[in-house]
Amino acid sequence: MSSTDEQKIILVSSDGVNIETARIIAERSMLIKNMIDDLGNPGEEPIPIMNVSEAVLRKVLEWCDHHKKDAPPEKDEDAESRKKTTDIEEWDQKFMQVDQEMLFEIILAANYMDIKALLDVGCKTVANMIKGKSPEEIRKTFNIQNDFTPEEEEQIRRENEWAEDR
Amino acid sequence: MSEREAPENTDAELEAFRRQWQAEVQSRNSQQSREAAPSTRPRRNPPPSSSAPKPKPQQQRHHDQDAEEEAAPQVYYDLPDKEAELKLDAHEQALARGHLTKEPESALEHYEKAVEKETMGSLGDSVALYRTAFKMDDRVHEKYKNKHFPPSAFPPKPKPVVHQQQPNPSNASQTVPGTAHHSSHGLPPTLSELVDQFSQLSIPGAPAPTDLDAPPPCPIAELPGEILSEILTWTAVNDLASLSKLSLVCKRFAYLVMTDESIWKRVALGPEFGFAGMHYNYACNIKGEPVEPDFEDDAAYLSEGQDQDAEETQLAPLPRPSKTTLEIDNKLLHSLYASSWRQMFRSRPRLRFNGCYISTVNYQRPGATNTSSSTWGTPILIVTYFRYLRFFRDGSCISLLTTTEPIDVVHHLTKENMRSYASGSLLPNSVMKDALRGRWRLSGPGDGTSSQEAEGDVHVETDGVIPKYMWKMQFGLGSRGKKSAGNNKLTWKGFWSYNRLTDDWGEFGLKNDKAFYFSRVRSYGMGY
Repeated sequence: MSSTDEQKIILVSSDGVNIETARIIAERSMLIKNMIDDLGNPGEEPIPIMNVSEAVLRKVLEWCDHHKKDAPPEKDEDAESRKKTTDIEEWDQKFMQVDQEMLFEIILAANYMDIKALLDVGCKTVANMIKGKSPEEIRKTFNIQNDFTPEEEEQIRRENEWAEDR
Repeated sequence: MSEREAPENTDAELEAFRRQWQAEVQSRNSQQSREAAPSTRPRRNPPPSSSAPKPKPQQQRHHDQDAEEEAAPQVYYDLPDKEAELKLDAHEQALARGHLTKEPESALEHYEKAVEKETMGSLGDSVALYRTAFKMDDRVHEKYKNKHFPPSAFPPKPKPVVHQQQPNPSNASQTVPGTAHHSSHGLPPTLSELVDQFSQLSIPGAPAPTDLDAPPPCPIAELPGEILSEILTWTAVNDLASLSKLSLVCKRFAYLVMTDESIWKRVALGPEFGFAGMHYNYACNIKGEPVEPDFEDDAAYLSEGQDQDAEETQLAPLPRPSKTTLEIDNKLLHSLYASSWRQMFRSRPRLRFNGCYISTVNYQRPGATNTSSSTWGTPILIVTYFRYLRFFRDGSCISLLTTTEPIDVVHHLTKENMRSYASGSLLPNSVMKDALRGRWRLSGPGDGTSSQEAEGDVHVETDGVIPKYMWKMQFGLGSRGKKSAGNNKLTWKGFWSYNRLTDDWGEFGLKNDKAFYFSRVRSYGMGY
């Protein structure tokens, strides 16, 4: 038992950097967990994480380290129950205080590495950035260009007016 | 209740204004048939006593309100602009109070203020302001219309739009969105065409400020559709209004918001805004104490694991019991709502918890003539009162009938005040001293009491004013205006009293009762 806790494995980032980490931490990622299960002999061969750069991978592992004691993700997770609460715990909020580029990289990495809880935290963080903002403010926040013609914009506005929840 | 005579010169002034008004209304009537809401407002304020033999206006005070009230018409709520004005939150409350001190200057400002007053039920103030506005500028109603109802808002002309495919800023988002869970049915055809054209677009990054600069980074454009949907779902669950704002950000978001069924399914089935929050059976007694369905009691004694389950069900404010409800939801989805969760969420009756329902009642009745005084004419009493209904997620509700205006009531309409009000208290929450507690349920397919009951009625039972009575109200859930959020209007279907001692039912007349309209109140948050 304890051997799994102590076991070290080596991950290789997309830019070719080897990162050593504990197996228990890395197994927050279902991608890595499945790979280890498939490969057997953990720790002998470095595991390539193709789409994730070193900086992002370290950040993701930092999160995994902090959450290594959390209940392991359930196999057939009920999508509804996963989405119960919209709150973000304090440590995660701080963790997500990064620039946007990093934030979206983390989200992409969490998606690729199949770490649902981290993906949720990331999406909730972005959702909070959107909350309460006007369309123009949202565009400013994310550097998005308005690609509507005025007529289209008006049409969409009218169609969605009802959802303004007043 | 005091009564006052208008001085002579005001009278003359009024008469002039009235004539001007009439002339205007006549001239407008001829060209008006197709133009809707806003410009009808002045017409609804007919000269107060044009048919009366003596056109002498009477001004009176009533109900301890300082406002002078004059004979004036009912308030109509089905105007889009009213929604905004009925929105009450701390910020706007301050603003509204600020208005009282900040005097309107231009004719348009006077007019806007008048509209606001009319909404609030202060007809006297409202008429005075309309009068000033028209005196300053007799075209003011047109300015108002142009400002609040620009002509562009009316004719929905579908324009063929030429599209250029946006240059794709990254490889990541080039993934073609899976159309399996996207559907544009439930949208008007012209719109669904338009939206379908957006399906392949990606989020466009902002242009560079100058030619030499690099364009600012737009990392959100790198996200694939399913992650964007995920983000949108969280946003919707947090704050539904953000979703409609997101749809105006760019075409990609518009496409996702309007076609991604997974977002709307979550919203429709979730407890935050959706149908998981509805009770189709009474969930508590009139005092607000939960009624335990039998199966929970059984479950509690069965086993450890079951025990926990039962506990959770009790703790959770929204026990969402069986699969049958989900089956019903699914059945309804396909039979009534064109298989669109979005359509279902929009149209299916549901109550809203992030605000309260307000019914403003204005009526007038002739007062007694004071035979001893030498006045002309008969005084007319104008009565304004408000009914408030706030529904809670646990199946309880508060009903309040008062003359106090919404601004001074809605923030106190809480359960805490229900318990703690002390009669005779001078605290602001003393408006709650007449509040009645009660419970609510929706009629509908999930209703176990009678399976054939039509969906969409709200049944409310409250304490009576005297303990031996119980009151029962029934409402139809509808919407104000075609384009509005829906489920924001409660129309009376019946109002009964039940005498617990004699087992008698009596019916109240609904002569003066007006429909309730929903107002979002930000201090309630999500209504938890």
